[in-house]
Amino acid sequence: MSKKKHLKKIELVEKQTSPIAKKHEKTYKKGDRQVNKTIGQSVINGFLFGDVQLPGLQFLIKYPLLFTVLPLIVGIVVFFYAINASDVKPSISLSEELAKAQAVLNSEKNYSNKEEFNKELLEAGNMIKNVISKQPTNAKAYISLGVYHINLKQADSAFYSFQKALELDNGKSYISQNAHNYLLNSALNYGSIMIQQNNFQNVVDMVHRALRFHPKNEDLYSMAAYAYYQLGLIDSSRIFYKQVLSINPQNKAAAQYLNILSN
Amino acid sequence: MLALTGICIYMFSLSFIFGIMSVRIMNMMFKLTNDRHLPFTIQIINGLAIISIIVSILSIFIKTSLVTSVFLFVVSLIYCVIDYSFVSKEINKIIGSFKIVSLPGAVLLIVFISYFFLLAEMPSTNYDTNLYHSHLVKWHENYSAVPGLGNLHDRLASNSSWIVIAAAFSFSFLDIMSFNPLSHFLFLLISFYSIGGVNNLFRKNFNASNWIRSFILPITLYSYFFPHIGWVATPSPDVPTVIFTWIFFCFAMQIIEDKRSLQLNTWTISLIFIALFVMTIKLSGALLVLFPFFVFLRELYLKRYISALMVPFLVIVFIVPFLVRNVIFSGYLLFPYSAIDIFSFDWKIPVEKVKEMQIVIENWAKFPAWFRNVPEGATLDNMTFFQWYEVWLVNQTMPYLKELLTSIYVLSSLFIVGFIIYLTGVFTKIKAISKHYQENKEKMLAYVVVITIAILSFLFWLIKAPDLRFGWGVIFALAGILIFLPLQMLINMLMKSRAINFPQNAQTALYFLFSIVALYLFFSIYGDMRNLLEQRKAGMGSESYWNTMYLPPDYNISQLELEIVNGYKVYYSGTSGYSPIPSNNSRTSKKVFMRGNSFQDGFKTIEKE
Repeated sequence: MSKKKHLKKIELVEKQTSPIAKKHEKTYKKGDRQVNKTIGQSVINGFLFGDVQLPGLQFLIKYPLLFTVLPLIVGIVVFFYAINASDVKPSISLSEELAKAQAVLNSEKNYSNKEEFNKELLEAGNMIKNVISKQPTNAKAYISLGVYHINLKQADSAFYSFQKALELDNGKSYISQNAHNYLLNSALNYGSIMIQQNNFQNVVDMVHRALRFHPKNEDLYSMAAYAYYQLGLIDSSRIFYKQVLSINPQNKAAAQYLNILSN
Repeated sequence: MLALTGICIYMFSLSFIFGIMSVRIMNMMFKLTNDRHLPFTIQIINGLAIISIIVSILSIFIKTSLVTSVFLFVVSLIYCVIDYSFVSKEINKIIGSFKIVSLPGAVLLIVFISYFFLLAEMPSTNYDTNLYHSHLVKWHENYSAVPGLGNLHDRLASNSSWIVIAAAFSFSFLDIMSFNPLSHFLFLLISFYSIGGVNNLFRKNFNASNWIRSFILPITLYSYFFPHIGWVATPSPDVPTVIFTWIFFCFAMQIIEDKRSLQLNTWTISLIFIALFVMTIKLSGALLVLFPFFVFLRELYLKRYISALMVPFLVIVFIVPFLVRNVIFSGYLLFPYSAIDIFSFDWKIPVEKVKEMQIVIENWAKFPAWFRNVPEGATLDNMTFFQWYEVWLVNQTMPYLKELLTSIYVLSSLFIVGFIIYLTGVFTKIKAISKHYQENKEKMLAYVVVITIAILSFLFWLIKAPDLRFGWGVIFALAGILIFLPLQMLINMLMKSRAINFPQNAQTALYFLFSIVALYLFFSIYGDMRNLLEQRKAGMGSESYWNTMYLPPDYNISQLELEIVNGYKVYYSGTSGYSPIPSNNSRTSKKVFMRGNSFQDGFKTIEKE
């Protein structure tokens, strides 16, 4: 028999499937199905019970350094992205500058030499203005600026600074609380100075601005009522004294003035 | 939030690289052959320990700023390139063992990562961070170790490698803010470690170490989210001391379960690393140093003299930078312990001040001013130990503390009694006990060593400085070991006798139920935490919350006053926070002078007559 014929015969034999072969074939196929089922089941089991190797790790095994260097770079990229994406850019040096300026403003009693304090005060003012120029939305800086103006006895400028702080903070935090208190005090302070200088129109203007933030403060209404009276605007004065009494019915001075105006 | 996430990813990968370096160092020093890879968390802690040594040494000579950060980054890359084959092998070992997290584990992972993002929006809840931690970090960012810094304020002489690491990862040189990622990093670390324990339990590995690891999960949440403990956004050394103490004892149990002894290998040496690292963070973790001492004695007993000598060498490498910095800051080897007084530098803090500080720390822990239920006229001096203990216990705020401590006392006593009975059985050659001893000698010794160190650490805490925040670590570690070790033995006995054999469906149901419970707990606690966050935002002020999606809240700076002391300006406030240098928490003593023209030259106290 030639080699070719011999090979053909072998092929034919191989093609024939004896019952035994068929049985094994079925088993093999059944085994395939079983193997497939086992893989699927094991993935589910692995997910439920945590017992199967994570897929896709072969890539990392080929390039192991990716496992270390890549997270290092990802961390740096995420970090710098966060810094650049942030709308507000804080600054350590500016925060420090502001803190130093505030410390000077709070420390007049610690200076033995008035001239030295005045010099430091002016420097503190420049530092605060520098912070504001670089961080125009820094509400805390505006409060410091207001306190600076109070130290320089510039109540009007102080008032505007506190007003700005309130607008920037918008009542979100303790800054607003502080700004409210400072604003009220500087308005009253300014009002007192203007009254001493007989500059009553300025008093009225200031009180109206302050009332936006302190609509129920009897001292502001009292001050405005007096200023209106001095300006000869009796009706307005009467209205404001009535307002004082509606806030504090026990206010004897307001009741007395109202009585006088009514008569 | 994103910025902190980036820093944490960076810290994890840097620590991982240095962790592989630590394995290489261990193999070289102790002549070890290739061992199974270390668990991922342990690798990270080893790496962090190496980083702490490097930054502590550098901080003696240069400020912890740009150069330090660049140095760490460059060294890690160079190491990866130079030792490429070893690094690849180690990574392949770790990758090969990575498996899918189980469903309960995956749910817990999502829950805890969500809490991480919530934490990233919160400012510090730790009182001492405003008192001196943040200011100390600032000193490290701007100056190398300043001689006699403790003269300015005794708290500034508190030397901890954790504060130096805080400065190394604050990236303040970018002049944006001093980032404060460490407590967030630790939260992730302990979460991964503990969830690994949950995972193993659901893989039917009921070893005690897995129980203890899982048990630590709810305690971690409690620690971070209840403000009187103050773990959020703080570089406080209390947090890593507690967390690494937990990990030390869990890992020790894991080693004994896996290797049935504490024989020298990379795993045991990692325990030495952790013990020494904790000691350089806070002295309240000092007793963990008994473990390296045990290893040293064991190696001597086995006549492996070279390995034995490597242990004190490791101790020297860890402890010497710590001691040198102590001497620079205060003039004493250990601060505030004036007993070891061997130097006479001009910047040394006066000994009376050091003794006073030691008494203040101990007395504050034993009998703080905030105790309310105090018998009339009672003081520390006129009470016996048991009288004091009653008063101390009544005034603690942690729920069920009395029950927890009672169980520790009872179980520790049972352990000691049981051990004595066992030893008696061995020496009197009772057959069953002697046989058991012969088969399990190393394992028994290992358990005895670990439990003894835990009990001694607990007693040290109770006697010296029983403030809960110092003892949080050892209390739960010891309670965990004493409760779960017998539990493990019981379950293993039942499993062997096939008394416990869950059918597959019951297991699946159990896992789904666990996941639902975990999700429920998340949503119920999440609501409370969001309210807490809103309250803090309102209280702290908008400038402390720049833009929490991208940047975290900054350290606080209080309203300062300025005084001029002996020719230099000092800022002060009740709690100075991250205030300009130099700052103090009270008025500076008129006896404190600068040693030179710059703050880097340091400070000294001159007792004027």
